[in-house]
Amino acid sequence: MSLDEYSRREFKQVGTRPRRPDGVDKVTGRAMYGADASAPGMLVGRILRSPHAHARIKAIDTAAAEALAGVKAVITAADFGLPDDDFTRDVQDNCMARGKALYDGHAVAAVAAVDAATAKAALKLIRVDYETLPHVTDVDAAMAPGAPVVQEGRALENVPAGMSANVTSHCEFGHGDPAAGFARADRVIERHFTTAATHQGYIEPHACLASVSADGKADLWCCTQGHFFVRTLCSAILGMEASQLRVTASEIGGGFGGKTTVFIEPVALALSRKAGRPVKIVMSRDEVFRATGPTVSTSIEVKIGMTKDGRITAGEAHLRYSGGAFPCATVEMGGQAAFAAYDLDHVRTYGWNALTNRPKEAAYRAPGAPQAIYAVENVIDELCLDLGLDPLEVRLKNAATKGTKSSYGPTFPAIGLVATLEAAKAHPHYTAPLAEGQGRGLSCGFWFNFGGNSCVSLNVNTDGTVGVTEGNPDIGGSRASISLMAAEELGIPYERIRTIVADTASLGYNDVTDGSRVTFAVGLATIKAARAAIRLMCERAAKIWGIEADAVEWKDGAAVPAGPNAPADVARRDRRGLVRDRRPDRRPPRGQCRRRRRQLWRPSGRCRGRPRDRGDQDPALHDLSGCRQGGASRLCRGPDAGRRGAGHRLGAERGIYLWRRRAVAERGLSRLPHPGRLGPAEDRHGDPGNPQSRPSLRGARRR
Amino acid sequence: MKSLQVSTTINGDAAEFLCAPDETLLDVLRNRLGLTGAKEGCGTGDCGACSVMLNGRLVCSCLVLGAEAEGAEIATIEGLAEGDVLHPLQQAFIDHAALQCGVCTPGILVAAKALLDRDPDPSDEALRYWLAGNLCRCTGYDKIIAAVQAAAAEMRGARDVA
Amino acid sequence: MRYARPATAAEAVTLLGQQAGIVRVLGGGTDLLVQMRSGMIEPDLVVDIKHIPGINEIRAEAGGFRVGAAVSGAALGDHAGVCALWPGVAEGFQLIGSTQVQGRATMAGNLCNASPAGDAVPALVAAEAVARIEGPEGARDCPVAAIPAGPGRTTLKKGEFISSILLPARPERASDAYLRFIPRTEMDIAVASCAVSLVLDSAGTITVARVALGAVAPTVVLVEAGASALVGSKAGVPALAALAAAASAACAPIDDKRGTIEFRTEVAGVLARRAAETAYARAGGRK
Repeated sequence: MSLDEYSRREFKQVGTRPRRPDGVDKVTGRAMYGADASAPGMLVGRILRSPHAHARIKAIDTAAAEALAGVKAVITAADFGLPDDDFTRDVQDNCMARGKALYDGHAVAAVAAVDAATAKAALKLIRVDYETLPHVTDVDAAMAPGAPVVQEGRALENVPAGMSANVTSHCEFGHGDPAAGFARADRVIERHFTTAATHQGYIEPHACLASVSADGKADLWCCTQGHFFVRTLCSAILGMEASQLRVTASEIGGGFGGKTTVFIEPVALALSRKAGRPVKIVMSRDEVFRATGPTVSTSIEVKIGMTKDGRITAGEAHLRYSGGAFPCATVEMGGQAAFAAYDLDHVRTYGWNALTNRPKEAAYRAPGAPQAIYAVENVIDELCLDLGLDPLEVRLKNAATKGTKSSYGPTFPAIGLVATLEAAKAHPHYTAPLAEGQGRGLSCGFWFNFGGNSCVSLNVNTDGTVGVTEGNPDIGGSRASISLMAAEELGIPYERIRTIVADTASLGYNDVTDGSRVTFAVGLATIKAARAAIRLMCERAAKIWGIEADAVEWKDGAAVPAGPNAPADVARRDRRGLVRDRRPDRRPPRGQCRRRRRQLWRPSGRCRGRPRDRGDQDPALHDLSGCRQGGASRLCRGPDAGRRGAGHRLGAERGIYLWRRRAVAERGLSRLPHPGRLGPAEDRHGDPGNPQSRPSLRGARRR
Repeated sequence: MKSLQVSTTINGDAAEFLCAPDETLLDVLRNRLGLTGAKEGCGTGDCGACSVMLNGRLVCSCLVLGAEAEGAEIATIEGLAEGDVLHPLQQAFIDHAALQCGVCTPGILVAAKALLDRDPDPSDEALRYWLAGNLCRCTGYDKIIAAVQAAAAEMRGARDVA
Repeated sequence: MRYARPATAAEAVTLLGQQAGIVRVLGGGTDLLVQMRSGMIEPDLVVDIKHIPGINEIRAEAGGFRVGAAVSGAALGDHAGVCALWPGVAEGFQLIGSTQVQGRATMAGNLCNASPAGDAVPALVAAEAVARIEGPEGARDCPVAAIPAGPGRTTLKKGEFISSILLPARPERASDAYLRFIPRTEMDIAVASCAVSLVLDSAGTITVARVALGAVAPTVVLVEAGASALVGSKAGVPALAALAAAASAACAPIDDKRGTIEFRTEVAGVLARRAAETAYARAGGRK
């Protein structure tokens, strides 16, 4: 079954509201956030920041700081290499200014010292020779002729010659002929909007603990929305192989997009490498606001034409965005999203990005889209007001729907906007009387969704519980969502699943926790992993029962033979579920199976049988991972069934044994699914006395 | 800077530490005593993530010097549960999903307990004013208010029974 | 930095007077620690006055109350006597910061921080509160209004610190009120504020009035013309209108991100009128 197929399904667990698995740790203060880790011999890292919005760094004299007792390392941009690609270099230069300080708060040097007081004193001893330069912080001012140039030579080839050197990119989206559309309108309104750069404002400041050993292996603990991406950036900046840098994501105290990149992590790593000791950097709130990424700031013109009956005849927007002192492509998001909610014949957006002396933009809740949509929706509302039209009806009339050629190119599949608007219209809140001072607003929005790379490892533990290992920091409760989806698929209770976020050395690559992708993409990987686990366990059950694999089905957390294939296998067990003896009137379906099953049921120490599967730690099912990459699903790794080798026996045997024990434990209970137990409940279906209900080697019939 | 030796009581246990004269109580708790439940969100008394009780008063530990803890009684989030039994507030926060990222949660719990110790039956308004100095970026506060009220009701019930 | 914890006022005065460089008094610390944290100041000596006998106490004195310099907002709010006699002083003080800040903040600290927008100060000025100052020359009393010299500056001399503030006795039928404007409902700094203290006669006629504005000038502004407009009235519409006009006229505010000159000027008048109405009602006056 394709994971992408929509099918109506009665969920047992998805949709319930279980307690979040991180709850107890978070209410007791036990949860470990970015600043909560420490390491033996740890140094305190502190960063010197530019007091100037724009200044050439003529020289940095760190000698006095280095000479201060207790100072173990001082670094500047000179301690970093020069990455080849612009993207990495910009991230690095944002972490440590090279040549010029581009905004107030831009890091220019850093120290690692034995304690905070020494580090603070050392910062004061660093002499930076600045040549202050004129600065520009407003996007329109930055695009004007003669504006101070933030960075030279950053314009892409799509920027026409003759523009301010601060303009780094241009984009256009749309179709039709807006001029013709406006000509057909009864009313055309054009307005100008500006939005300020706003900070994500997470409560937890950035914090990290880096440790680089003499052989180049490094560990990094940090609060981030994507530790694999942190590894990518930091290893590139530090000139390390990714395999040598293990990044562990702490609990994250909010991110809202702002923790999707690095600010202090490469600095801590560089300090640790130089000092030979672990280095912890914790930003102050002041540093967070001065030097981490807010949204873009924007200046936007929107022009929309509308007929008297509310049909939008054309829409046009000029979007000028600034992502601070480094080029950013966020305006492309705004250009695509601005009119995407509407089915328009004539639409065009023009986007420009310009450099300003502000901190480098970071993602923040649909980066770039709300600003453009805010402008568009305001103009639509004003048109509705002018023309005496109901704002909801107008939006319904123009709503993009299945088959609409979107304003940014693709033709939409079903996108649900009409249904959403109809639901809003039908909601009592939409017609509830308003008291004095109350108002009611309506606006449509648009954002893309995507899957991205996700890797999940799902292990069935020796007691039948399940561990799910995912690689996306849990920013909004995704561990609960992932556990629920695994529980749903496996048919075991949520409480029997523990989902953890693994470090970068323990799992395949995962993209950042962003763009609302995690529940969707990691969820799909989890479902796939759970289904793979089920398939393997069913195959094993089939082997034990001596029936075809497809004659076994998975039901309520257990493998069961499909109706007519139920095995005639019943044994007496003690309270622990161990085999005591066999009832003489119940014989296994195939004679040669008997010996092997008995062996497998026995505790491993007494087992002489040859296990069929390899297992090391989680023997019942080991090393099974679902991976979703670029929209295509595949198994990332799978158990190498049938492989044999020294050292595998114990695990494999114990696994099968415990797996059997689960089934045994169920036997004495009712037919209700036993919480958290995995295993074949072989006596649930069929009458062993009936030849038709015996397992069949071929053509097993499914119920 | 010469370190100061400070003797204090934290969550009922005697504690001694050395600290710099300008070191905050928050830094002492977190960096010297391993009590990292109190968080630093702002360091300026605005966010409340570092809330602790100092001699029976709710305070921001980022606005207290470690040296001021001499002879004081301090209560932190780490002392809220009794052994493995969560305080009703803690349980209510889990049951009512009153936390998301959780970094503000320890401070809010300490603050909420301080209120319920004074007023077992606060109005929503009183509760919101009381917690105005505890910023939460994730929840939107409604669930926090619901959770505290649920815990308060449960605690009142327990009191009535007792 | 050195931290000292004197056991007597005299010891504190000595410490404050003898230390060269930057010396700061630590009461509640809600301003001091923020300033230290931001790097605004790096004191050489911090003198924690909270261990001086009596400094954490509120004592009845001559029909009024002497509030120790280390009494927190939370402690003052728990004191029924002060809250009944000077409700405007109590509410102004308790508007400062959060519950947590109230657990530490002091009136004396708010006064000495000398912010034009300090919420504790206008009501103290309207109340004619008197600060007791300990210093090298011994103790002296000084009207609260004379302490702030400008933003961040006080008239206290080297070695001096405030040990208590006396809220004077009041006749029957007297009360006060404090209002401020902030864009939010809590945890903000006054854009404009006003305290009004009134004494009524048995007929409800205002016999004594004091009107003090905050955040509209470098220091608290005592609006004599506003007080005159109230005296002899029963806080009727004409008197309140005259008060509002006088209050607005007394403003000399700055333009900043929190409010324009025009806005502050207008709001100060509105606040004065409303605070007067509240104080009048509290004093037992009926219209």
